[in-house]
Amino acid sequence: MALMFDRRGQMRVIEAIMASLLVVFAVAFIDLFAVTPVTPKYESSELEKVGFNVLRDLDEERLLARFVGNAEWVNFTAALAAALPSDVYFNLTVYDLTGRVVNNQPISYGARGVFADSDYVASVTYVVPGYQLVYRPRVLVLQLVRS
Amino acid sequence: MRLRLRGNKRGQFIVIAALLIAIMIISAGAVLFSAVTYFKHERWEEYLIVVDGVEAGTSNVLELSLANYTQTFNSSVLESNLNNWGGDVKKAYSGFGAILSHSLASGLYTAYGMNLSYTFGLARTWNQRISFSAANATASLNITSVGLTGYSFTSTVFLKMNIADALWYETKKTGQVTEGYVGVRVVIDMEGLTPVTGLQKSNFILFQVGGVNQTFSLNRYYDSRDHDDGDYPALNKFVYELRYFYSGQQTPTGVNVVIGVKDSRNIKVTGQATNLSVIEA
Repeated sequence: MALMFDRRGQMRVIEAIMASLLVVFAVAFIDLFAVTPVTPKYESSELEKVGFNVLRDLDEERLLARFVGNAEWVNFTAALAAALPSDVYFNLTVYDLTGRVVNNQPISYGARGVFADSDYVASVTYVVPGYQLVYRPRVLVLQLVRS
Repeated sequence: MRLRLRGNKRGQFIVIAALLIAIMIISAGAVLFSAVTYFKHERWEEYLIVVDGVEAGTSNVLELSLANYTQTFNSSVLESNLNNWGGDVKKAYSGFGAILSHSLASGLYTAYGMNLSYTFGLARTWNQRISFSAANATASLNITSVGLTGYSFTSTVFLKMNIADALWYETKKTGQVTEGYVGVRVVIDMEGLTPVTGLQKSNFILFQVGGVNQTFSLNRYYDSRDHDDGDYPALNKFVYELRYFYSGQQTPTGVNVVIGVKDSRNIKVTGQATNLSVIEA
């Protein structure tokens, strides 16, 4: 009975609750400003890594220089299509160092306009210095979009 | 009761402490926010891709330069190609401010248990039982747009051929005529002493026995079996065996061979062994 009607210390409880609420509000307020990468941006970065790794693998297999050096564009397209995930569209352009397009056939996969319509297109640049004994650099620009 | 609540001044310290903690959290959050916002806009992945791409390209330049050198003996080809490569990297990654400089290995180096004497980053020792071709350069990459300076890496390209031994496979002995096959065995390694395992017959561009070109068949295997009734221990290495037909009055005991090999990178090595001992398979 004495405990039930003892009102001493109630203020302490109220203060503790208020203090807790203050801290919770502070954390919640800060959380509003938490910066997490938005999905499309994250996706673009992931696609860049995928694209680079595919080109790097082809280079290590000594296929990349051969495709470019021998102008094997059809084989190049097939190799990229096989190496990239099936839901990734790609478009690769081979330039010389003056900026002239070297590939006379498209090296691409995916519906026309998909790159123009997409807000986030990943782009990877890879340089092939030459083929066999000859130094003749070519700049490969690979664009990627997930369908 | 109201009066008592309103007049109770005990415990205000807790509220003040909580306020201080809240202010600290908000301040720390603000600092973190500014840091994350700043670094979020940096294209870290792109920079890594540029660095990896330049490193891979530099290695490719070394490979094709060494291939060129071993076939044309142009000793300035690596220097020329790396000079061009430095300029071309700048153009290809113009948005990043990539600047590549290089220094070529020069003088005597010890690597893979061998002495390599480099001139303009290139070295070769041919026509020996253990022969090799090598290229070595150190490059330094700056990406000025992000303040990256002095990222340094060394690229090495290496191809070594060791003419290990020769095995004798007797097929027929009639009177004074002995017939059989001699299998000359070579071990081929690349940088890091990684065994080269994918060579075909067409990669062996020269095979001479006693100064005469020989037709041969190629066998490839990992040698883990002792030979000559156990007197000759297994090499425990991946070997290429160039087998040719032999017919003579006696079993061959020693052969003189010259072998030329060109790997998938077009790097060439020519080795030579005099009086190579022939052992029972």
